[in-house]
Amino acid sequence: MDRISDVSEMYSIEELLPIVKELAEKYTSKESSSITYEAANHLMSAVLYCIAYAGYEEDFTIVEGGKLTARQAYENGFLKLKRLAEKAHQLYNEIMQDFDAYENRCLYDTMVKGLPEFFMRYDIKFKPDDYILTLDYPVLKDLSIYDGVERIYHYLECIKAEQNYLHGFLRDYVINLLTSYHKRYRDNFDNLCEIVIAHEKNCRNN
Amino acid sequence: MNNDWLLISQKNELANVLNTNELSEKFGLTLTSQDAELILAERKKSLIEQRRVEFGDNIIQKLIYEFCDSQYVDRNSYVETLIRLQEIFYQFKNETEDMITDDELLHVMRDMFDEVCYGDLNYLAGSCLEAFSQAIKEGYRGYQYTDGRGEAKKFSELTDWHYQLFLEILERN
Repeated sequence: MDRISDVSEMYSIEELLPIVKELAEKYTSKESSSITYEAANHLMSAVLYCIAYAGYEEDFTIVEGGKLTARQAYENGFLKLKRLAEKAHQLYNEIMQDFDAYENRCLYDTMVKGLPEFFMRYDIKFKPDDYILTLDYPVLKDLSIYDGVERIYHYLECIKAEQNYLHGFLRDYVINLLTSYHKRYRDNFDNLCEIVIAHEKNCRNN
Repeated sequence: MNNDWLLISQKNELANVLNTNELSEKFGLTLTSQDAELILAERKKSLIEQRRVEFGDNIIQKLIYEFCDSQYVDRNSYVETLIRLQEIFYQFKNETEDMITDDELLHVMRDMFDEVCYGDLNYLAGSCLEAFSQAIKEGYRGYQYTDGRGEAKKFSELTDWHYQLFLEILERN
C-alpha cells in the first residue's frame, strides 16, 4: 500500500527499530535473541501498518496536525485498529441477526464459516495487515487497497448494504429471479445484488 | 545522529563481550579488545549468512558463559572456537525452525560438545545437531522438559549418528 511507503519515508530506521525490537521480544517471549529475516520483515510490516493507520481517522480521512513520534504513531494506530476490529465484530453480529444467503453457498460460507475464523485468528499485534480470508463472495466495491481488519470492515459494510437492499424484496421473488438468471446460481461465485439491480433496472427501462 | 546511535550500540556490544572475561579468566580464558571485535565482526557475517536479525543482547555472552568451563575449550583456540560456536548456534536456530529457545539450544550444544563430540565442532554441527534438528522437525519436544540438558545421555549408546536410530531412541525416552 502507498500509505506504508509514505510512513517508511516519514520515520528513520533508528526510530522504527526499537519498536520492532520490542515486538520481537514479545514474539519470541524473550526466549530468542535473534529472528529470521522473514519474521523481522513481518514485524516491521506490522509496525509500519499500525503507524500508517494512525494517520487516518476512522472515517479513513487523513488526520491533520503535527507529526507524532514513531512510537506515538504506532501506539495510536494499534489502538485505532483494535477499535476497528471491535467495530467490525459488532457490525458482523448486527448483519448476522437477519442474514440471508439466499441459498448461495459462496455467500453463506464466507459469512457463516469464514468471518468467525477471521475474528478468532486475527492477530493485531504481530500480523495486523493480514486479512486471513480469501473473501470468495465478491462485493461490488474494490477493496484491494485495504489490508487487515480494514478490508474486513469495508467488506462487511458492503454486505450490510447488499442485505438491506435484498431484504426490500420478498425472499421467494429474489430466489426466483436468481434462479432465472442462472439455474446453478447457488453454486456460483456471482454477486447476488448485482443480478437483482440489473434486473430491476431492466424492468424500469422496459 | 545516525552514526552516534550506531557507535554507542557498537561500544556497548564490545564492552558486554569483554565483561565475560570476569568469569572466563577463572578458567584461563580471556579475550582482548581485538578478539572481541573479530568475534563481533564474524557474528555479523554469520547473521547475514543465516539470514537472521539479532536485537539487543547478542548470543556471544551466553555462549561464553555456557562453554567457558568446558574441558574441551582451549585458550589457544578460544577465539576460533567461539566464532565457530556462534556460527553453529545461528545455523541450528534456523535448522530447528526456531522451535527451540536460545537457552535450550545452548544447553543441547554444550551437552553434546562435551559428552558425545569431545570438543569436535565439526562432529557437533555435521552429525549431532543435524540429527537433533531433524528430530525436532519430526515433532520431538523432549528438550522442553529438561531445558535442553541431558540430551546427549539419551543417545550415549549410539556410536553412529544415524537419523532413524536417533529418532527411535528419542521416542523410547
